[in-house]
Amino acid sequence: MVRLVEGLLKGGGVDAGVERLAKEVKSLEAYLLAECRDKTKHAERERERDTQTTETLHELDRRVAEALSRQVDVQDGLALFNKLQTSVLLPTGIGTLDALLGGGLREGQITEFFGASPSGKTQVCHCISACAAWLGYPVVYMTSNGSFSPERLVKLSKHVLVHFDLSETEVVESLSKILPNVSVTQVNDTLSLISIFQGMIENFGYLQKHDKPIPKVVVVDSPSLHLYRDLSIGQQNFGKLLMTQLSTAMSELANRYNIAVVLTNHEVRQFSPLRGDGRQAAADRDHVDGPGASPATDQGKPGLGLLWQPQVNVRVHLKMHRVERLDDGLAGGPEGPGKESNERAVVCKATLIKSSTGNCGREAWMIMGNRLIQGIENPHNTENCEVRDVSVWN
Amino acid sequence: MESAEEEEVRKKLAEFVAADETCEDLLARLAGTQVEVRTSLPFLDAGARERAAGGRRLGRLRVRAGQVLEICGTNDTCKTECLLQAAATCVLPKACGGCSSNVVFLEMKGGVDPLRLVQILDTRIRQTQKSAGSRLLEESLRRFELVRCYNNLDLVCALKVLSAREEGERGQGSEGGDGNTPCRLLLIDDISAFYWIDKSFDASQSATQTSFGGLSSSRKEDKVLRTVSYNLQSVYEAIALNLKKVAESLGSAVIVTRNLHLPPQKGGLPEKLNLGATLPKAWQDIVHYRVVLQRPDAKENAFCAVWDTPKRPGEVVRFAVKDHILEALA
Repeated sequence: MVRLVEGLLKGGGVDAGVERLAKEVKSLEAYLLAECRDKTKHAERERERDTQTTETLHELDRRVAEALSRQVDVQDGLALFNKLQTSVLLPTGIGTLDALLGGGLREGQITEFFGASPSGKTQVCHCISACAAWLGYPVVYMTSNGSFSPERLVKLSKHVLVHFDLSETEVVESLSKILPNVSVTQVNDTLSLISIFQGMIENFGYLQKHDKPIPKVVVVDSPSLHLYRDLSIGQQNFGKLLMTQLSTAMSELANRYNIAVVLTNHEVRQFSPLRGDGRQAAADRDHVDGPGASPATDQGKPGLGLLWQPQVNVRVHLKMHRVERLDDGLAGGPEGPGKESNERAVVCKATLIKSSTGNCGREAWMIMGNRLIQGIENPHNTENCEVRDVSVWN
Repeated sequence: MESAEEEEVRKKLAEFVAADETCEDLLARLAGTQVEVRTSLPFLDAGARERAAGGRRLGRLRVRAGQVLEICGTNDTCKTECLLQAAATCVLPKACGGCSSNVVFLEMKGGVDPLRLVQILDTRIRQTQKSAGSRLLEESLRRFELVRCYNNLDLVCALKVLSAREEGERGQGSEGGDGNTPCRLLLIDDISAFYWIDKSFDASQSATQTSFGGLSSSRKEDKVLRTVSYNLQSVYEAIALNLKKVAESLGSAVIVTRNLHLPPQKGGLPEKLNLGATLPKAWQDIVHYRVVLQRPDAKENAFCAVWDTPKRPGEVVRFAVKDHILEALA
């Protein structure tokens, strides 16, 4: 928000009329809104009769615009291009997911992972935090459902670092570097979440000016938990207001300080329309996915409704599948052949739903466990493997 | 013999009915300002030349300086993409099929990706030029300006700054005689981004009341800056007034996107839907043209544009999003 600092409009070398008005301008909002209505009528009526007042107001306008020009953020295309060339792609720690995102998370953008529960969203968030922290970037992890687990972070860190070809000793040493870089906050409602973001926007400017490090990744898991509660309270307008404020605050933080914001969201199913006699179509009724599901839809929609959908820059859908070997051979897990591993493995399919640079619809596969997460090839392409949809509706 | 009073009344009446300017003066005044702006949008430039289903030739429709085109649509109907394509057409040099003009993009919702703009410019330059691509790319990017606004009042501030900057440049230009690159397009994405925030401030409830001076003050300046309330109407009135002022002073056309916040409908939007009704009248009054974008099938790369203002029933322009252009489909 552009703020009018008290006394900004005071200055020497102008006539007394402007000085007096300038001292009385206490609120920028009031000035901007008042001048359009009354000033227009006033200017039209009084122009021929009193040129001095019009000139005074015109001079005040000019002074206000001059003060504002120092605060309005204008960037030309070449500066944006140079910023793009020096920007960092933050790896998630999962090879196939990085390839899906075009190299990693882009700073300055909001990335959302949505899916039914469980689908690996929190696992991915922990992995992203571990990877960014190992690279030396401070991470802020905000959780609304107590989902953050330091033990899980440590286990995943070990796995991610092995993926980066570190030795056992180096892995242990790196853990002491990772953990202090991750700050965790528990958030209990949307208003607290919004105020945390607004606080960060105000304070990070000060930190940057004094060359202090600011976070590179902010993870929020998950804002939809609180926003759904707000949407259901009384009139929906209150929930929509909070949703808009939250998304604006996140977008401002990401844009101003080149921070990658990562969110999670739940999944909703599309309801099929009722027939004229009030019953659902037979195909829908018999479908195992549960009431109201559309059999033609392979993927659900992100939660929080239409207003939320345009607020994120990149959206990835996560869905769990079970892979079963049809023969008695080796399971497709990272433990490798010969080890006693299950013949079934739970894998996660990530689909790129929204992205500003295209490639939507592409998929990436990951295998997930308590202490591991790793990219794998598409199991549909593997012989003797059956891939089954593991849905919460089954 | 008429008295002095009657003589004065007669003189005032004569002044009142006297014409301000002749038609010749009007045309001369408008000739320099009513510049057509090329945007390469299929529903504005190329598409307008095609024939409608009944074989009737469509009239050309292009936005001119000072006019406002509103592009409406639900989610994922490539409204922002339309703005980026129009911006690219404007900033590219004439040798690459552009207008060599400046563009100011006022971004309200964080959906503009500079990488996408660079992708469009680069592809178009490569298609028309064999060499010196990076120089042309830099030259084009210099003509593009992005202003980020985080609420509606930020937008008003940005418009004021643009207006003041133009006045300052015009003042300097008249002294030095230097021909600055004109700004031909002003783009806003999207005008309804903060609708729910401002809608929550209802004038009938306890709105923010701010006053200058004192209400009992009799000074002329204080009567101008009176008690105001912060609500949807006043904010959009301020936006409309400042936008109109800037568009006229810069001599640029304005293209604005608006999200309809409706669920996607398979059969298209209902015909009787009053699209302008959601935003206040002050905003509706400055919109000259309105087009609605729809996406019949979410899985296909095919969009259609239907004109709302002026209404052109039965005329649907279909297009697809390619790497560097919006390609009109049959």
